[in-house]
Amino acid sequence: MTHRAALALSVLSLASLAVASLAATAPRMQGAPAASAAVAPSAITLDPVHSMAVFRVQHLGAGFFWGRFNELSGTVQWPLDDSAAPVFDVVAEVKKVDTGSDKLDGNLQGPSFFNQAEFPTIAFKSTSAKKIGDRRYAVTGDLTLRGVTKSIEVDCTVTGIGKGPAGQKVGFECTFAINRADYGMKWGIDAPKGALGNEVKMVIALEGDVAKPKE
Amino acid sequence: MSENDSFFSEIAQYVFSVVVLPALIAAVIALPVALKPLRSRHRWVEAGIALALMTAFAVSFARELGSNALLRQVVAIPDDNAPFERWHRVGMTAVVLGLAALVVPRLQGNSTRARLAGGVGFAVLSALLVSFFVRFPGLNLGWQLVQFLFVLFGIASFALMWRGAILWAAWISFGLLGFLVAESGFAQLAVMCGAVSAASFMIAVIWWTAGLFRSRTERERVREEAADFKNPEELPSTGAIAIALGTMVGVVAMCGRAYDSARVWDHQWTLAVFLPAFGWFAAVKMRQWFKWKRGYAPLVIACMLLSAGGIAGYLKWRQSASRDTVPSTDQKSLDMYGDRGAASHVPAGAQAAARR
Repeated sequence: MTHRAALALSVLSLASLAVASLAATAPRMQGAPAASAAVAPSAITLDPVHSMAVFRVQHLGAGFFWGRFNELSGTVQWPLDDSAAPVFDVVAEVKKVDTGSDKLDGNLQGPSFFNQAEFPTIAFKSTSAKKIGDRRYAVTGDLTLRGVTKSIEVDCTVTGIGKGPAGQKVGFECTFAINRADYGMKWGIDAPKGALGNEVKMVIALEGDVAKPKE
Repeated sequence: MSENDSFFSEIAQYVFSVVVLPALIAAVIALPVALKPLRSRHRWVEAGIALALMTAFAVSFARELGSNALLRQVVAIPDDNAPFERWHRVGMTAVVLGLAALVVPRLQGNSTRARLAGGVGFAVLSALLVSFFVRFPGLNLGWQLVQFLFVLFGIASFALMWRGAILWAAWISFGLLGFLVAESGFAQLAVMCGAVSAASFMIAVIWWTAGLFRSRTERERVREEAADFKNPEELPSTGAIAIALGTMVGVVAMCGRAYDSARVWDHQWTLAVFLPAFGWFAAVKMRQWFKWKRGYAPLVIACMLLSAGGIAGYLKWRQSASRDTVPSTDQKSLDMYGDRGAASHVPAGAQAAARR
């Protein structure tokens, strides 16, 4: 009897231990990173040749006209195991606007639109983010355009992690829409009426090189 | 109404709002004084016309950008988060010149020496104030000095102009400036120049029409003065119109240059400032060569129109020439991806074979 009791006690103890272990590890299995496995965000320097922003605006109430800002620069902080949201600090130069027409590029750089002479850059700095899917985030940040800074929400997706000649590369794609009148760019909305739409949709394609860890 | 009609109707409404309406307002302001001959010694004639022309610019500015664009330069506006833009100083310059036009003639004396000294003094003061307070991006101290000289030269050009020709000269000068500014990609400033040009034209027509109804005696006296080009025993002008127009020509030319994103030709702005002076000089010479007996205004108009047309035509030619030398978008893409060397030397047949 004593032997049986001891055996039963051992089985009970083992079972208790197993249940306790399961309870302790359950939150980790749901996806929250264990403190001991956290990865520091990697500093990702944007590759200007492969980072660009495209924008579209409605023309004369008819078709959508697309343009591009070439050679975006800046950095993104993001842990490669997707344990935290990316933190963006991206700058576009107004003089790099490219519509395929030099005359139109000049018009867009003029004071009626981006006013390159007084506001040479467009910048976005993220302030917070919320995960909304697998490698997908709703990033809130400050967009500074034409000297006006407003908080906007950007839908960002990590498009992939690859390998390049210099090491790992990470890609992001972000989309958002703004009303250009909010940034003082009003020509063509009311005067002349309907020449250009107010809403501008942006798609930002970023690719950056992951900094190698210091040895 | 068809869709085409609706489109042109929108454009017509826009042009009316920012060009025609300001010009009409200016013509109404100038009406009481424009009906008097400009050679009158009455100070209010010049003050009224100068005020009217600057009002045209200021109203066009406010119609295009909103009155806050003027107000935020002097006061803080609640809930106004739009930034101050340096070129908005041009609108403020027009407002100040319009108000100064009411004051300057009153501060000048009634002798020839006092008028000349006052005119020169106010011209230098205007140039100094503009050079100090109106600073466009990318202009260093040297360019501020150029702006000072532009304004002084512009004022001198209009001051030399005969009273019967000054408004026609303003019509052509601001018309050319509006064209140059539009070609540089600055549509908003172009319509403001168009408003001043239209206002100058309207007031000049009013003045000329009123002159047709002058008494026969006065018409004969006018012809004698024009034939001899002897300034009768009259006081010189107060310079109000010349100071207003010359300052705005200098400031608009510098503004156009500072924001010129096309950068096709740098000298167009200098030529625009020199245009009234050239028109005056050419009219004097042509009158001597061709023994012209009538007034100077037709000669000034003809010379300035031809010169303005030449400047505009040369600019268009340079634009088309620069477009022919710009690399194609395809070439830019090849450069970006570093395939320029490979792609440009692959024969077309080999490329087609590779695609198959």
